[in-house]
Amino acid sequence: MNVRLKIALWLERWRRQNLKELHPLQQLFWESTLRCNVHCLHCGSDCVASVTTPDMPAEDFLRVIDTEITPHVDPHKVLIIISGGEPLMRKDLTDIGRALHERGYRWGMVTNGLALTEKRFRELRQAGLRSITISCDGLEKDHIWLRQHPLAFEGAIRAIKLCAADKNLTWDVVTCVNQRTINQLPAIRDMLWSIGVQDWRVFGIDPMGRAAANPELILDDDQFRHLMDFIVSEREAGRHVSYSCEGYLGTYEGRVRDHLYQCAAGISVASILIDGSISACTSIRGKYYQGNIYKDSFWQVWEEGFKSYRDRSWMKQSEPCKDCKAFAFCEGNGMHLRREDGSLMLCHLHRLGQTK
Amino acid sequence: MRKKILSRINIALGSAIFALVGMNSCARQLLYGPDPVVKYGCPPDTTVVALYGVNMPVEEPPFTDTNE
Repeated sequence: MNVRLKIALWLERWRRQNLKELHPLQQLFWESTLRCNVHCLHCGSDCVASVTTPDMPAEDFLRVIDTEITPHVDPHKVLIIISGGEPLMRKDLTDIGRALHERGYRWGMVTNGLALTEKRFRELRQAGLRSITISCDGLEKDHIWLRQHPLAFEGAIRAIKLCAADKNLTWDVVTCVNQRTINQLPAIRDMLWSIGVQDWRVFGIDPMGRAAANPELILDDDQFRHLMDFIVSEREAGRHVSYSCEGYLGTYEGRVRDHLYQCAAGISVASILIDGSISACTSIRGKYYQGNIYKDSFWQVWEEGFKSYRDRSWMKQSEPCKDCKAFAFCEGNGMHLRREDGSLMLCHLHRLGQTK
Repeated sequence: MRKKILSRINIALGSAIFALVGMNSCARQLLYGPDPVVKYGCPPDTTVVALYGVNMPVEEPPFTDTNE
């Protein structure tokens, strides 16, 4: 590791410690529905409960916004991410978005694009939609295989083209790279760039949810290193390709993302889940939930809870972090990679062979 | 007061980090484009400020109704 990177990592550590004390709420996920119109093989939330779990009423969420959050923040500085399931399954999405926009919040969503018609897109933009990510997991055959829907690719491409034609929208494409697609990255890039994509975020699939039972989805260590090298070469060529935020990446830090690694869960990121639970990123295990909007004050929880997120020294008590020299920079990897029993399900540094 | 000081320190730290490792071939996007700071499940944030608190000239459309 070169000296510049090492200094930057120490400065980042200092910045992160300050940020923990400040813990400004900057991103709020709302798991608005568990319903979904596809049945992805890699679904992290494993939305099998989608039929039986009702959507959270919009008024419940907006009550928290109005009474618990707005009095304490500048709405312009908070991005609300309407999450799912598939957010477009909610017929009142436009109304909810407009309500947030009128309150001064920026809002965005991630979608598979299947239900994003031109009319719906226009309505959402008029309701203040500021940021959107379209999931596209490969060329047609592999995308359909992963999404388990014959029109999934067509829908994603249509959505991408709608975004590309809108010059005032912040958007990107995210791709779950798996064993089927790891050797097709240049072809996928060419396809995406040919329809107007300029920002592409890629990531591996974590062994959780449905993906845990399907090893074909998960990259092996060599493939993971290949993915890192691919991103480095793309960025050197001037294309904005990034790895997702998860995972401390050792010598790849500063080369595959626009920022150094940090897990912002519980530090600047919170979530309200479908049952009202208060958490950080939506994929974090239930043990780490901090309260529930139907019983607790969201803001009190945000201010006084999240202790295990803001002081991660507990992660250093067990392997593989116990004797790891990178802990100062990594702090136990992402919160979403911690199992209920506190153990770590995936160490990116180990995958890269850089733990020594 | 303490919060204000910490915020200012963080802005300085963010600038130093950018200077050390951030200014690569993607600098333009870093400063003026989407800032995908968060993991899958989240759309890109619309400001660099959200991540580093760096007071940089992020070119954003004004916060107005898109009906206009």
